[in-house]
Amino acid sequence: MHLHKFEKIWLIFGGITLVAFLITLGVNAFSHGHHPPSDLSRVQPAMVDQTAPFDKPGLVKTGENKYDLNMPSFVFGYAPNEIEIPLGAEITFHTTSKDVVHGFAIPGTNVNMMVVPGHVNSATTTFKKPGDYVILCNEYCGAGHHMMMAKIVVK
Amino acid sequence: MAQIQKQTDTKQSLPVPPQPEEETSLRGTFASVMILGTLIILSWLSAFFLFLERQ
Repeated sequence: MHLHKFEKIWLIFGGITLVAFLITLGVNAFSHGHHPPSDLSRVQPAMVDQTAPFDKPGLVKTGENKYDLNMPSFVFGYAPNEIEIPLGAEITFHTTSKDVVHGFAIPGTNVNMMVVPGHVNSATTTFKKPGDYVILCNEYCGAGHHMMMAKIVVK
Repeated sequence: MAQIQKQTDTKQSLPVPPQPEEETSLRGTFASVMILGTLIILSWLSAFFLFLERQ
């Protein structure tokens, strides 16, 4: 089959690009652990308030400058509604829904989760800049969806 | 007799081999796909580095 020289160059260029993208994603996924937020733990949606760790929402210190932040989501808010976080701390958010599907997104970070009743979801981020951050619901969850938010103060 | 044969030989037209079509110039096409490819790579890299920076 006759291929024009330019076609060959373009196909090689495209092939190299594809391989480079896939290698980058593969290395990130398998060696750096970057993957979409997901968690294998399950919880009874009606029993969230009685189930650890969501029976005591808030920060739990897990290591040197490392914290777990357990925040159940519900119509129309998160618990706790406002929380202070030390600057530079690595925070792992754990959330689940007590009722319907919610979102859990913090603009300016990579935290962006879908909160499905019955499932626990987790995401980790490090707050390197002080200031106020907001947690927003980005899945339409009912009449008060636009009011659903929580505040994080990084000091 | 041989002369006649010769005459017919020269009159017979040989089948003309199909002429290869003149290749159209692909320089503009090449330039445009390269620009497009570069834009795709840049957009991919910018999203990727934004992700890394926010990690």
